[in-house]
Amino acid sequence: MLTRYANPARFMALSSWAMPLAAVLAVAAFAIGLPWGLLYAPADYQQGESVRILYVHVPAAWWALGIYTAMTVASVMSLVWRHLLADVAARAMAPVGAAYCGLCLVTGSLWGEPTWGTWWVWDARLTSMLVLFLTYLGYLALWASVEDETRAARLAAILCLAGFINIPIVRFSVEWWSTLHQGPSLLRQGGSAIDPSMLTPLLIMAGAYAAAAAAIVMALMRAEIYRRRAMAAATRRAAQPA
Amino acid sequence: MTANLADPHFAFVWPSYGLLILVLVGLAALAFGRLTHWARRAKAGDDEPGRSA
Repeated sequence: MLTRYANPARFMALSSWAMPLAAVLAVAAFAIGLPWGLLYAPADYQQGESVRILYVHVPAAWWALGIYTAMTVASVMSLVWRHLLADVAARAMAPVGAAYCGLCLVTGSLWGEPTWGTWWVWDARLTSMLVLFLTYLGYLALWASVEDETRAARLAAILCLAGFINIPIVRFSVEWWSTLHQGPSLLRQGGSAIDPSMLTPLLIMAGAYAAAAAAIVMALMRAEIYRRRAMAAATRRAAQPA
Repeated sequence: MTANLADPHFAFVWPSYGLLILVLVGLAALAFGRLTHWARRAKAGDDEPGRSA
């Protein structure tokens, strides 16, 4: 199935309707999730109104990890099978993952001050998340700094694979070390610790983040395919005799 | 509405939501800008005389 959709022409046909559909779903989910989290979800009995940062911070963290994992899968496909779209996909995902990761760090800091009394602490979760953000930036910088695109793609894929070691560290940091950051609330033994009145808007926001990421990644992939077509056309023109 | 907008904690909540909107608008602008730019360039390349389909 992956081979079937690794064809750029087939991807362009699929994304011509999937991209606007994802964008509409994202707008609809944010239109429900944003006011729900900001105004209608209950305040927390300990944290008060600052718990509303949850609906921005947690989905950003989930998808910063999820997008990096997807980039790693694409990088493996690029290195092993040389699929045409794998590099394009990994490169398109990087700015979205970096933006979500940066958003997670800043909103975490905004949440930390009223909750913990500090904007930042070098505990395992926060530090590993910062490392993930720096890995995203390094990946983007690598693509921008190597002129030969084939070489850039290979180096970026290797960097992405090396950086993947940080993903389980982020995920399990709150279990492996004593951290100021709280432990897992959703995926843990004994089930979710989040009340459905808060879990529902959280999941809607997570869906909105996912749909927005899908729409933006597809748009960036389409732009990259168009760019390669334009470059190929320019090369053909330059090769033609005057 | 359950939120108490007068609560001082909202000084931390508003910037979080504002930043989310800025990030989404920024990413959408980046993607849409690149897409329209390169789609136009690729179309112009396709329209060149002598270009095979």
